[in-house]
Amino acid sequence: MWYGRPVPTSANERLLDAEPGSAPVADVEASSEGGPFMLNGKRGRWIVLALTFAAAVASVAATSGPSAASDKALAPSNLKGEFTLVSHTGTQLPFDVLIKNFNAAYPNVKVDVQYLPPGATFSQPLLARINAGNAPDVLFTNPGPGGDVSAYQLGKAGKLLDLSNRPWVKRIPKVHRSIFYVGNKVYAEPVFMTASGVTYNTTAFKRLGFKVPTTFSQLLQLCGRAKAAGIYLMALPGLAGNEVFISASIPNVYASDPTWNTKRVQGKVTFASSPGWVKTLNRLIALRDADCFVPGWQSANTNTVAQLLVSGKAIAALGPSAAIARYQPLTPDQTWASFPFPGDKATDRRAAVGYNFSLSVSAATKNKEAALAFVDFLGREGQSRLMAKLFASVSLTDAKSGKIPSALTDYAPLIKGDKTVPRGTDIWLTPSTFNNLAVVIGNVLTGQQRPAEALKILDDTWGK
Amino acid sequence: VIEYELNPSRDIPRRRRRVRMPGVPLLWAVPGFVLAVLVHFVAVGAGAWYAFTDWNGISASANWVGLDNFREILESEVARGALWHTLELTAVYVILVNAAGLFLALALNRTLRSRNFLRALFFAPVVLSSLATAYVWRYLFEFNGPLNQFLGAVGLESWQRPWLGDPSFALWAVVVVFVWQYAGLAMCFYLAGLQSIPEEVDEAAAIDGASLWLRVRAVTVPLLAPAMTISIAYTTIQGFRIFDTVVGLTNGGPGSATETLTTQLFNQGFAASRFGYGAAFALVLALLISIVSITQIMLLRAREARV
Repeated sequence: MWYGRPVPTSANERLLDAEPGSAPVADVEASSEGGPFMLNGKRGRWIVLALTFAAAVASVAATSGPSAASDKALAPSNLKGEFTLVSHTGTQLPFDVLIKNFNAAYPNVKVDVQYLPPGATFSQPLLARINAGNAPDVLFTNPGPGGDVSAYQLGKAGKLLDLSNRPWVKRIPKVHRSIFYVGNKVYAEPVFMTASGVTYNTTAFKRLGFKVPTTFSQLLQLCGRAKAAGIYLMALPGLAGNEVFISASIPNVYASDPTWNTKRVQGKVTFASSPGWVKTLNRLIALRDADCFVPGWQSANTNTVAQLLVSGKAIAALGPSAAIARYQPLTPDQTWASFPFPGDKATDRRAAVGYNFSLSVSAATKNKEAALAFVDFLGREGQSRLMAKLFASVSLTDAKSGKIPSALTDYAPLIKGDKTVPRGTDIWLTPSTFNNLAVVIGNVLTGQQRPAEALKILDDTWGK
Repeated sequence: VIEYELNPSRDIPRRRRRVRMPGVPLLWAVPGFVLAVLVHFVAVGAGAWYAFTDWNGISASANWVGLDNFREILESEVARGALWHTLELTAVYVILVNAAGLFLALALNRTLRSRNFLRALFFAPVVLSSLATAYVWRYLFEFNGPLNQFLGAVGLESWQRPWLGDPSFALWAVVVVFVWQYAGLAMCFYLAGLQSIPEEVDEAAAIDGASLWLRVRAVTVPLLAPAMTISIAYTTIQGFRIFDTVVGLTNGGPGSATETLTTQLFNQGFAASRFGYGAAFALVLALLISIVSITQIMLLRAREARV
C-alpha cells in the first residue's frame, strides 16, 4: 500500500487555518499518522495477500472493457434529469469515454458538458461564474487549499455541496483526509493520484536510443542528443509554467527537506531564502541555455505544448502525469509515460504524488440527484480505475493495493522506498502561491528578474 | 391707448413671452435621479468598499483592512510594473492611434473614388471582438507563425523572435494590435470633424498659395480641435481599460512583462481569489482615468477656445 508521505490530519487542519507566522505546530513527520505507510510483519503480509487477491479480481473485472464488470452488472437506472459539467480541455478525451459509460448506466440523464482551456483561462471564468451564483452543477476542482480552483476554499465558503455521505468517501486514505475534509465535511471527490515529473514519449525515446535520465547532467545530455536528431527534448509553456516549476522543484527542494511545505506553512522558511528553490530556477535556466526547449517557449501555453508533443517536435514536457490524457488519444501508435525530474544524484529523485484533480458539486445545484449520480458513478471502483488509466495516474484502489501503472514505472523504486513528497498545492495556504509560480518562472527565464528576487513574489503573497 | 385698442394683438405676444410655463416640480425628477444613482453609482461604490477589505471573493464575510491593499500595490513590484505598463501602453497607443486615424481620415476624406469602401475596410476591425482579434494576432506572432516565416523568406532571419515571449517586444506587440483594431474608430472621429470644415476655407488657403502640408498644418488640423478632443479623450480611456487584447495575446506574460492594471485586477480578483486586492486595482484605475481624462479635456478645451 502506498499513498506517499502523509499529510497529517488534525495537525494539518490547524496548519491550514493558521495565520502565517503563527505558533508552529507538530511536524508532519512527527505526526501520529506519520511514517511510511508500508505494511510490515505477519499481519501486514496477510493483508497484502488479501489485497493482492482483491486487486487481481478487480483487475480481471476491469479488463473486460471500459466499464468494469461490476458496473456493467447494474441495470440501467430510471433516473431522469440533466446537469451541467465544467472541466478543462485537457480532460476532454477521457471524459468523452466516461460520460459515454455514465449514459450507458443512466440513459435518461443528459450531461451538458463544457470544456475551458486550462490555466487562468479556466479558473477565472469558472470562479466568476461561481461567485455570480451561476455555478455549473458538477465542476473540476483542485482538492487542496492551494489549488487554482480550490475545493477547500470554495467548500469553506459554502459554495460546494457536502459529499461526506457518499459511498466513495471511505476510500479516501486516512493520511490524506486533511486534504479533503473541512471539519467533518467533504467537498471534493478524489478521482486519482497523479505524479509530477517529466512526461515523455516512450516510443520516441526508444527510437532515439534514449534512456530515462536519473541525474540532471544526463538530462542535459539528452537535450543535445535530441537537437542532433533534429527535434527538441522538451516543450515548455512559458506563459503558464506553474506545473513546470512544481515538477522541477521536487529533487532540488524536497530531497534534502521533505517537510519543506510544512515548514513554510509554519513560517520557518521562505521561498527566497531556500537554496532549493533558487537551485530549481537555476536548473531551468541551465535547460534553457542547453537548448532543451522548443524555440518560442516564451509565449507558449499548455495548448502549444500539446501541439508540439503530438506533432513530434518535442518528446517530453514537465508537469503532472495526468497531462498524458491529452497526448495519448491523439498519438495512438505511441506510448507515453512519466519519470521523476532528476537531481544532482540519482538518490535525489523523489516521487511527488498527489491530487491535482477532483470533482465537486455546486451547493446551488438544482439538479442534485443527477449531479450526485455522476460523481458516485465515477467513484465506483471500475470507473475510477478506468479514469486513472485514461489519465496515466493511479486510482485510490490501486494505490491501496500497491499497484503502480506502467506509465509510472519509473516512480516505483521511489514509492517502494518511501521517497515520496506531497504536492505543494495540497498544503499551501491559498491559490495565490500556485498562480504566482507562473509569474516567477516567466520573469526568471526571460531574464526580467534574478531567481532570489523573483521568489520574493511568492513570499510577499504567501497566505493572501 | 387707441393703438392698444386698435391692435391689441401686438401686445399679446409680448405678454406671452413674459408668461413662464409652469415649472416641473423637482420632486418629479427624484425617481429618475434615484434610479440613475442606484444603477450608475451605488454598485460601483459598493465595489469600491471591497477595496478596503480582505474579501477573497467566496467567503461570507470580509474584514476591513484599511489602506493595506493600496499599500501592497505600492510595495509590490508586479503591481508597480502593471501601473507603469498601463501608463506606457496608454501613452503610446493614444499617440499612434490618433496619428493613424488622422492620416486615414485625411487620405479618405474627399478625393478617392473608392473612399467609402476603404472607410468601411479600415473601420471593420473596430466591430470585431477584441479577444477573437487577439487570438488571430497571437497566431501571426507565434515563433513558427506567418510573421517570422515571412521574415525568414525575405532573408531577415536575424529579426525573427518570439514576439509575444520577448519582454522587450511583448508590450509593443500588444500596442500594435490595439492600434490596428481601433485606428478605424479614430478615423471616424476625424472624418466627422473634417466634414464640418467648410471647403471654402481650404480653397481660400490654396488660392493664397499655401502648400498642401501648410494647409493641413495651419488650416485643417486647428479646425479639427473639437474632433481631436473627443478622439484623444476616448482613446485615452480605452488605453487605460485595455484588457481583452492583453489576455488574448499574452495574459500578462512573459512573467509579468505585459501585466496592466486591468489584468492584475482580474488575476488577483478571480484567479488568486483576492477580490479585495483586485477591487483596489479597480479603484486605482478609476481614479487614474478620472484624473487624466479631466485634465486632458480641460487642456484640450482650452486649446479649442484659443483656436
